[in-house]
Amino acid sequence: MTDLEHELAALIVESLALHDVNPADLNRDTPLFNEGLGLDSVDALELAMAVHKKYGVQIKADDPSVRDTFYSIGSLAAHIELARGTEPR
Amino acid sequence: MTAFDLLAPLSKPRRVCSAPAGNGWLSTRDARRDLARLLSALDQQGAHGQPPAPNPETTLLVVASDRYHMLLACLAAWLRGSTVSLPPNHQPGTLDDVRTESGAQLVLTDAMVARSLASEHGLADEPRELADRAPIPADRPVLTVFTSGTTGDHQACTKTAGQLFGEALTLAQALAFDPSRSVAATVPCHHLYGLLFSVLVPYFSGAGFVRDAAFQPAEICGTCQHWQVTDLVAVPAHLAALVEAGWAAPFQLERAFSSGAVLDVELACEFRRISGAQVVDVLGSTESGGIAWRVSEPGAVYVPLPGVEVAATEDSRLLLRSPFLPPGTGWEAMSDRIRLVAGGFEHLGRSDGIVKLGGKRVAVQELEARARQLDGITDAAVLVMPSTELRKTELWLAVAAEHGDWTRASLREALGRYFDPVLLPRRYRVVHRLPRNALGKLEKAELERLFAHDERAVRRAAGPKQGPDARPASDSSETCWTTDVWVPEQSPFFQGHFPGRPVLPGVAQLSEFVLPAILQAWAELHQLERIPVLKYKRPIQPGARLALELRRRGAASVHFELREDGELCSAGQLCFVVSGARESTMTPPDNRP
Repeated sequence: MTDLEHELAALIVESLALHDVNPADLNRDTPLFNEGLGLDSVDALELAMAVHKKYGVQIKADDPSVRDTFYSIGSLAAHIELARGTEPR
Repeated sequence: MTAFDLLAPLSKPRRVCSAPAGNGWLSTRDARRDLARLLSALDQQGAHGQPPAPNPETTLLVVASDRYHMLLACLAAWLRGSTVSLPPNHQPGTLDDVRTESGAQLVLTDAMVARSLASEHGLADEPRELADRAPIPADRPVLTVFTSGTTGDHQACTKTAGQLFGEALTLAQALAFDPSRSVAATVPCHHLYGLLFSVLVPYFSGAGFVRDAAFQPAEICGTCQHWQVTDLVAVPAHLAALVEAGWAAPFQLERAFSSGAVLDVELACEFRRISGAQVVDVLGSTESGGIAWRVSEPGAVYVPLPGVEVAATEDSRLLLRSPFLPPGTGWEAMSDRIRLVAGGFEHLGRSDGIVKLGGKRVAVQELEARARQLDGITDAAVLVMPSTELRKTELWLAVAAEHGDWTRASLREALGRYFDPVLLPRRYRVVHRLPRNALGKLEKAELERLFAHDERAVRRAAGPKQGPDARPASDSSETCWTTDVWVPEQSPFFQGHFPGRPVLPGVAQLSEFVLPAILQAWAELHQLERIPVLKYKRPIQPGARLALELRRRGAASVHFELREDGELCSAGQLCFVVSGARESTMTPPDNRP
């Protein structure tokens, strides 16, 4: 995982207070919702806010790809890198 | 007797709801055409993919997220004399159950409504389909809403036409809905609040409504902007999210409605400050219907809706007499506690075990009952715990299982068949037995201890920490630490050790519990040198709860004892390399996960 992806794993665990999840157990492809981490809609709100606070990146809802953005740590990292104008890896 | 003409709102040309893909508004003309198509599909062929439903005395289970589909499905059902059942959520297990419990002969989904509208039923003879549809008498049951119950079964709450349409018309008038207003919602329309405020009230009042639910703050902003929304139907959690997101609302939003959970007046004021919209807090429940409302401001009192009478018992419980209660009900005691004041009442809280999460309600007992029904699970208990700022409250679930197949993931999956994801527990513990006392009661503090050591315990320190259960005691010669240790139910250490009879290996006792605890108590003791004494007296099984006692003996030596229920399991003496001394032959585990 990239540094950003490690950061995001920690951010997810911390901002969502996932006591039972170890950031190091997460990888780039772990699905955040449903069968993966099992996050719910309130988590999505909190995560969008945490990402905005930390990276200044808005997760725009009129963008039809919002579900894809939140699919995994990898997709979220790619979204942030794209929004900051750096190339996603 | 009063009767309700459901087609009257479609008689004048005006808008009804948003058209798909953001393309303007559907008109009453569009709605008449689509309603005729759906009626034709239901009356003649049955909805697409379903057997015909020739008998109008049927129950239709409507599973719709699209508010326009919900409106059409309900109107079609009611016009042909059927009743509508709505499920508490759209999870497959729940739908199976509710279909059985409701006796629904037909399930109508978004996809089926969409197909009916698009199919050749489009050639339906509209005047004929819509002619001679009699008004609905007030005493006819029209809707059954299934909610989470306290016993594990879903509670069915049936509304007559008088209750449901009467409430929609009352709300429309009392809250001044009219054709100039545009309504969007962050809540689903299969709950009574969403059905009334985002579908039926707009429909009867002539206000336009937005079909899709907006959820994320940015999404809600986009929806409000695009459709020039004046009224946002929401719950406190969503308003909090908008405030948190720093929502600036340079649009037309005038009001936000809040119901389903207690709304902080401070939050309402903050929302008003950033959005310019006032927050209307509506008090009510599925069973009682709407009771009262207020514009949420400091000192504002709740004003009963027109026709609703409110009184209070000596112990402050709300007494209600309302046209929205089942016909023939007199004064009914609610679970709310209130104080009557001039012009209305103040709300003091609730007095039952229903927990509201993210604006949705869950009966803790239902969750426990569902868990106990799972294969191999013998006991279950739910803890209601404080959570993050937005979520406010979350649930933790502890279960006692006969076998080790239950994990966080499999429990989530099994319960996810019945509960909305927002209502699922956030933390899980699987143990051999719950710490019930002699009377079979579970103390909250005991349950919380199950969660005190997280699942990483087997890989990370489960050591002494500052707190009531970790106390450094000292006499002249030694320092003593005690702490509780929970052995996880599942751990790689149990695999093959031994098949069918898992026992915690001796080396794991040291590496996972004793050494990390020592390291945490005395950071300088990080390099183990030798183990002069080590005794294993009793096997330690998965889920065991152990007391670990550490005694420092001199600069480099620690004596440990692990006990279960007072019985010694293992004990020994460990010697460490004190900083700056010799190389060690064995290093304690690092804290790498």
